Amino acid sequence: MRCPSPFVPSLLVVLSLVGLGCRKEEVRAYQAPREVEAPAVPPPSGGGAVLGASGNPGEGRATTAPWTVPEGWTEQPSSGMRVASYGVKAPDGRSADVSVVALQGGAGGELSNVNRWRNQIGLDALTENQLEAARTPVKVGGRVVPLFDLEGDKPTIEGKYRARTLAAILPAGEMTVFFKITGEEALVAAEKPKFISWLQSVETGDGGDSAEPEAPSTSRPASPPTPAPMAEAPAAGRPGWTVPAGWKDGGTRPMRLASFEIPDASGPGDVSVTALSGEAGGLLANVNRWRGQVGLPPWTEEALKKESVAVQSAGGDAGVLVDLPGAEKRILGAIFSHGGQSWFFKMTASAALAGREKGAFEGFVRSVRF
Amino acid sequence: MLKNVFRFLSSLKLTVVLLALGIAVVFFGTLGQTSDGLYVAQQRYFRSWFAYWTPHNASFPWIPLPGGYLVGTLLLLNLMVAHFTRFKWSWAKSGIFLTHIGIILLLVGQLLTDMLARESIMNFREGETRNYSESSLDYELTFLGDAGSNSLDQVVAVPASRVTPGAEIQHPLLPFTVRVRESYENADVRARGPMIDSNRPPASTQGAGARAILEPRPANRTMDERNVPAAVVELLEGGRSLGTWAASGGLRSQEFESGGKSWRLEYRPGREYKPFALTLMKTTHEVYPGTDTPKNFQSRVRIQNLDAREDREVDIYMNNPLRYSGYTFFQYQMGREQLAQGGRGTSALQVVQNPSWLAPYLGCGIVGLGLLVQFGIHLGKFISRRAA
Repeated sequence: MRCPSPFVPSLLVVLSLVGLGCRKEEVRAYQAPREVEAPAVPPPSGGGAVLGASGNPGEGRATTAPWTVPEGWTEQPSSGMRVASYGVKAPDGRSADVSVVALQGGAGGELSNVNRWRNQIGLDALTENQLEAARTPVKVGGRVVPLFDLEGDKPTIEGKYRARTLAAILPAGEMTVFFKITGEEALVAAEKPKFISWLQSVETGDGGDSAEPEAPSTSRPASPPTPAPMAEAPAAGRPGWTVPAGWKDGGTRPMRLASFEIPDASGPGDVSVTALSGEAGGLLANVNRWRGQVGLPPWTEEALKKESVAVQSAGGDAGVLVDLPGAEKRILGAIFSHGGQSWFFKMTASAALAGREKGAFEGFVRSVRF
Repeated sequence: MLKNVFRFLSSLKLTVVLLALGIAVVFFGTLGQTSDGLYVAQQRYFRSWFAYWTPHNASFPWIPLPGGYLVGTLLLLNLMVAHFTRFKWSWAKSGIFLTHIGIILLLVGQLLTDMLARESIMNFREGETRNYSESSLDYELTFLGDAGSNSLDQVVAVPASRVTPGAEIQHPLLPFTVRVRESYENADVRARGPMIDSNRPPASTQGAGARAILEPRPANRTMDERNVPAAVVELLEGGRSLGTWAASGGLRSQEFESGGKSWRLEYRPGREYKPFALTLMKTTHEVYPGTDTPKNFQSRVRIQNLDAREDREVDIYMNNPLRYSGYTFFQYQMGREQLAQGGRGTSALQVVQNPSWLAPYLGCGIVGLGLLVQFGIHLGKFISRRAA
């Protein structure tokens, strides 16, 4: 061994270099220029990263979609406002995108959404009057909702193909759900029957409907019968009212201020009280949402004025009362506007039960004190 | 004893064994990429001391391997110890000497690159200015508060590796404790829909997560897609819970109040700020006529560096990166946003900072020169002998 001494410093140098490389990631604190939030830059083409997307579409999904996916549709990862996404591909490369989007409230209303879709495929905007003609009734689950079939007249896809969009709007509780397919015109036309049958396969739940997102539960634990009539003091953020005899407390449910159950041999009736901020889409939209839930076609503004009844609460607030008898179910509803909020009182029951309880419901609504 | 250790460390047999093991690590590391993807395979086989290879989708016989760090470190030690203990300087061996120096430089250079090199991405639209680049792999759970100035944010960034279920994160600049409830390497975040999510509670009690669902996804290992991590965190102020928030790369900034101040929560790619700014002036995307095959991606950027009083425009395109202030900006990707959003061109520049980028060039040059010198010396001797 001629020269062992330089070995030790060599070893130390190597080990310290390696040691430096094995550092733990630490929490960093620094000051940075504040930036105005801008939408994320879309991923560039050429193998770019896609935010929210991942491999193995659909894998790991914890829920089962409440509809039957048509053959040939491929599930895609969903993110953002999308609840579900599917892709449709033609052998020659043409494609269409199917989406289910859920938005809070009325999501800007029917007209603005239809005009947004029209704009996306190069069509001019419609007026409120023209919108009526653009509606085609379609069944989503057991409910009738408007379907819009929008056919582009310019080659907006890659400058070669015309686009077409089919979209159905389903009011669901405090949300609105949009079912949409958009893509190359001929492909969407070919997929239209599948799209329609897909809509029909949607399980909306009997009440996936009104101001409550969940269907009335019949397996809810029975609560002790409420002595009636009983005047309830206003709870925090909740008006006071008098609960009619025979109505049972329905327990708490998401988005509802109160729920009542009316026992009946034909199946229990469900009464809900919900408040949403602002106009919550407006009177007509909400009444038409209820009409759709019992399979009735939408009303016009004039029809609403003609068919609805004015009602006054015990506190002196003016509201609107509607009676919507569907083939199987009947909805009695009242809508008040108070304190910057829209208040929805709604009974969903069999036609016979709703008929028997109509007086009690109107008395309940009139007893309300905000 | 020490003599035996030196003999072992300086032996040529060890060199041969280490080179063979190096080949094995490269071979199994390459195989491992098929299931693990490039980045995980790099960590598992090359940036580790020990590794093991398991056949795809099999739990049985795995092959234990030395990691890249172990092979590299032992090779470096082997070379240095052999050099110091066996090598005796003479002009006749100057080529070998140079070759050894070159190989040492290569090994040390690779270690330095591993330690010091940083790669990130600068993404912008035409007209936008960036003074930071973002990691393409690593996310940070970021809390932004007022730094006492209208134009500055106080940022506290927690690396994703620390965001693990059960972890409690505290920092002197944060008036709250962050308790991690859930953490996912890859998850989608989407609106909580009626019907489909009736039986699922929202992701969190506060913020955007109160109307959203986190959908955990299998971790992505391919090169062309990335993982978007997500977490549910509970914020505690003096032991009192402020509620839970869902954090995800798919959610925008969420505001909340704590300690009498307004804070924002983001889960975003790790950022590295620069002392200068780049503005994307124009993008050019040319294809070969009649095809979609790219011919040229080109970004015209404006460099503004107040410290250096510099303000100029340069073009970055394929094989013509911008080298500036210790960074190299490569043209990486190019696209165009949707017409509804403005239809502007977008560009992604790969930003590489590698202080030791010269080491492999120098190392290879010195090895080449050493071999040339050594062969030259032998050739000279051979010719001299023949002439004699």
